[in-house]
Amino acid sequence: MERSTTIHDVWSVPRSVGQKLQLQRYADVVQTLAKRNLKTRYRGSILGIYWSLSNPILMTLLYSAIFGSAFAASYDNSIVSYGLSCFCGLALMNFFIQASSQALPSIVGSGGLLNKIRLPVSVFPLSVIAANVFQLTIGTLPFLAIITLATSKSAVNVVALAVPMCGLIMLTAAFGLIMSALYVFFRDVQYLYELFGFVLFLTSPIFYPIELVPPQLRPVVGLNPLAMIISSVRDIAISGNSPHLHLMLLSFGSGFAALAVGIVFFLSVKSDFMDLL
Amino acid sequence: MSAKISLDDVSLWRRTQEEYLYDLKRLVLRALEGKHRRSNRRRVLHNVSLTVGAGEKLGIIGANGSGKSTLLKVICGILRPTSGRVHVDGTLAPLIELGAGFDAEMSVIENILFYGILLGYSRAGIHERVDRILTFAELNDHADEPLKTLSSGMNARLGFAIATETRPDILILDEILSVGDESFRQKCAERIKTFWDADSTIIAVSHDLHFIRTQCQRALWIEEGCIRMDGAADDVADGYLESVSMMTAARDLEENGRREFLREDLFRRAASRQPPQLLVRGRGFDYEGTKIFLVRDGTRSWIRDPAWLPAHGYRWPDDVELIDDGVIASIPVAETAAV
Repeated sequence: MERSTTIHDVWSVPRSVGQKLQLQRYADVVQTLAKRNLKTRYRGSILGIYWSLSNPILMTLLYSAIFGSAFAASYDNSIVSYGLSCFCGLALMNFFIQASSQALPSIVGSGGLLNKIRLPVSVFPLSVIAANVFQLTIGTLPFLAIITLATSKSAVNVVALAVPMCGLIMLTAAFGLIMSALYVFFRDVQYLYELFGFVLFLTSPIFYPIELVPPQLRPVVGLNPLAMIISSVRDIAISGNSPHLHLMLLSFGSGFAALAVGIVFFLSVKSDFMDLL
Repeated sequence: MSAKISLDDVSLWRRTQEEYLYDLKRLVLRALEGKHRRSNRRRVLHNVSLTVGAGEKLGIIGANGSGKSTLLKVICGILRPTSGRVHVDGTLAPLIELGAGFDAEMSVIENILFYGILLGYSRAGIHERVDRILTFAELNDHADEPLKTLSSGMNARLGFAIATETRPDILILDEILSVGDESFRQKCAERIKTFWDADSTIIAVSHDLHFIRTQCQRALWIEEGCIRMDGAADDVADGYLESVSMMTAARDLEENGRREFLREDLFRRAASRQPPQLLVRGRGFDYEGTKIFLVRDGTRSWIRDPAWLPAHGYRWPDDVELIDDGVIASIPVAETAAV
């Protein structure tokens, strides 16, 4: 009977249940789940990913047609500049809402699997986020990079885009973790989250200039981390100036802080998951 | 013999799902009304301590819902014990509900890669094994078809082939595998036998006592989350069987007694064309959902608990007509109505 040590290597389930899973296995599982997520969504056509761009583009055209001339004054009297600003906001907002609300049911939906195979629970929300990040990277990001290059004509700005984008991804991951955990306990948060998404969309200056918000309300709106990230991306991609460092740091920092909170929350409640799945 | 698996005073409490409100809105409203209460927890495993040595074959028996599968899940690391420690040394293959996690829309190959990674194969490891898995599952001709076109037997074959492609140090079997058609079942049995003959540690849950006696050296009898008995397979199987037959006998006795009484009663009524002479004291009581009367009819009946008599103002045995060792009869409501 061949009894070799390679069995341990290929069967990389942890040697001890108390032991943490190796990072490699974690990454493998996340990647596999993310791939499946994309595959089921796009049925093998890579072009399918560009469908995700059709929504922000269509909405941009719509908003430009309706509000463009009314708001152009706040955008250097240019409807094009209003449209670009609108597109940035919509693309990022879409990513946030789509990824986090897809992550929301991911743990509950995998309850069967979690009861059969030992898996770290967090792979489910995070793989959904990973799939959406992949989509963002090959769909929206090149688009934003081209816009950036066209307006600023500087490679620094293109590279700088990565900073608020990282902030966005961390913020989204944080919401994905928190909402997927809450959904295990409360099956009605799905509806509340839809409402939250709508409120977030309206209170973030996406299709209207921030000047439209009454000055006394502006500090409250300014607390919205997503609005911070959007204004940083706009600053880098559309303004044509060199990037504002404090905006970049603020958006990265708020994403980082949110993720830290999300992880702590997730870890503190995950021991109760298995009883409710 | 080195310990492969050791459980040290493991207890598991689980939330009872039906007690829990899956609803934020209701929870908030209840909290506002001051009616909030903590969710109930039930102890599923009670202080289980267990050591399984390398190469040992352990059978687990017990009634449904006694905690056998829960114990396996704790060993596999799917459930985390509330207290106590679990230590597992070596690679572990849980053969619990094979194929859970397959994606019907994806092709067979994609499912092998997907499921393999979830089970713990490395990326390279599973790629290498795809051909062997397909061959063993006899699905070479279906490799690129979506899984939903396969029969359920083929599904199970695939699950088994993936899970047993490498020989694990520890094999967990929940119920004996009855996978696919006869020829494949034999193939499975052979493969498991090679694990059995080799020094794999095996833990098998089964209701088949013959299997436990012949295939395992040691057995564990779980009852209501506790280890009721742990020892040589034959002894434990005997003990379990004895307990089961006693319980069945007790239940039979009670049911048959009641049935026999009714039959006699009806027979007598039919023969005499009149109601039997029954002396009913009081207006009857509810006892375990059954209306109970104190009956004197001169024939034998069976024991009910006389302890509830004093609670209802009767002195026992003075107030009761005792027949045949002082028996109190109980008749289901439907029948008493006729009386």
